Amino acid sequence: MEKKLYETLKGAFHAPPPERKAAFLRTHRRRELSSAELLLSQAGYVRWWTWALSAALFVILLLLAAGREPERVWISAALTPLLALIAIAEWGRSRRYGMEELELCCRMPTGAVLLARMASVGLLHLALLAVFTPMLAAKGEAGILRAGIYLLTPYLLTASLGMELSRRIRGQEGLLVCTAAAVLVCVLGVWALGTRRSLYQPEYLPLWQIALVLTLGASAWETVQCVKGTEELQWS
Amino acid sequence: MALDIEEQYDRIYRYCWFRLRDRHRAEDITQETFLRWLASDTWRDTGQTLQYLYTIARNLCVDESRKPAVDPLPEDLPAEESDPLLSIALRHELERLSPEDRELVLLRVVNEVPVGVLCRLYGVSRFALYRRLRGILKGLRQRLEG
Repeated sequence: MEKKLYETLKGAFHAPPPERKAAFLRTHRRRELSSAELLLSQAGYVRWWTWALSAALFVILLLLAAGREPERVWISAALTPLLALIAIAEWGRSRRYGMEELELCCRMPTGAVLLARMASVGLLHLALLAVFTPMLAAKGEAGILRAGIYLLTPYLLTASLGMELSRRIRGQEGLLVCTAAAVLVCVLGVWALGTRRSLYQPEYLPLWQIALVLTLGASAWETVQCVKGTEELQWS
Repeated sequence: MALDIEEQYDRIYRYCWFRLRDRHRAEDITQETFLRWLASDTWRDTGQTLQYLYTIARNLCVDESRKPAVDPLPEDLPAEESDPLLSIALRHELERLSPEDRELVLLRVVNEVPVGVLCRLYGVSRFALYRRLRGILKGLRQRLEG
């Protein structure tokens, strides 16, 4: 009955067909931006040195992967927060330079613009890590899954911390605090490598998996909060 | 991000037609709604396009219904129906609903406007909207079965 009622309701609200629709659409049709086009257009506004620094860090990671040190997975993991810092520096750019007002005047909502820029940088980083992880795992004990978890967790931890801090602290101070947070995560990685090497043993893998899920959730939540923050700004 | 104007044109037109019951006035209002939306750069891409379109259409329909009514021409009937008896009974029951309830059924069931958009449009919570819609559909079902 439920389905039949819905179907019949759709028929019951029959309106005579419009007569001038084709002429109106011919005159007033305008092309809307698709999500992919928005992403590509916004990628063009990301500063060149964001791409250059990401590429440079990737080269360093590749050199590490080419080495024979048994610790190269964990050293690489300790470097990924720097990759996240590059993305965070791009994230807070308009806020840092007081350009939010100008961005609010643009055709696209600031949230969508920020999200598109971050998605372009984030997707590049994920692609680099996706290429790098099998290379790293190929010559070591850790498989692709383990290496991926070790690399992604500090990246996501720094990204979520950075977004939280840049939402709370405005201006150059925000970037400084984010840098400090990224360095702290790096140092923690190096410290664990020096004194708590057992953390990287397979028996601790469930802990890493939990940490990955938590940081993934935190990053998603922070992204939503940052986009919502731009909406509030628009209405205030 | 992108809005399918062709699809939304039919839906906005249907909404206007059921408010005005006049093909030509409904089409005028539909086109005016889209012209105002196209002229507005501030709202076009804020992710609240549907809410904006329906708000313009509703306000224009309210203004239009205040003008002296011209006798509408007889309108076309649907070409084919799977259950003509049920359709006639349902149309009769729909006419007995309040205009607000009829509008809600049209927007949600026929035009498939997302619940979030309807909540913002009516200024009610999701819970209240679901409860109201469930009540209307339950009443319709009972009267059709009874």
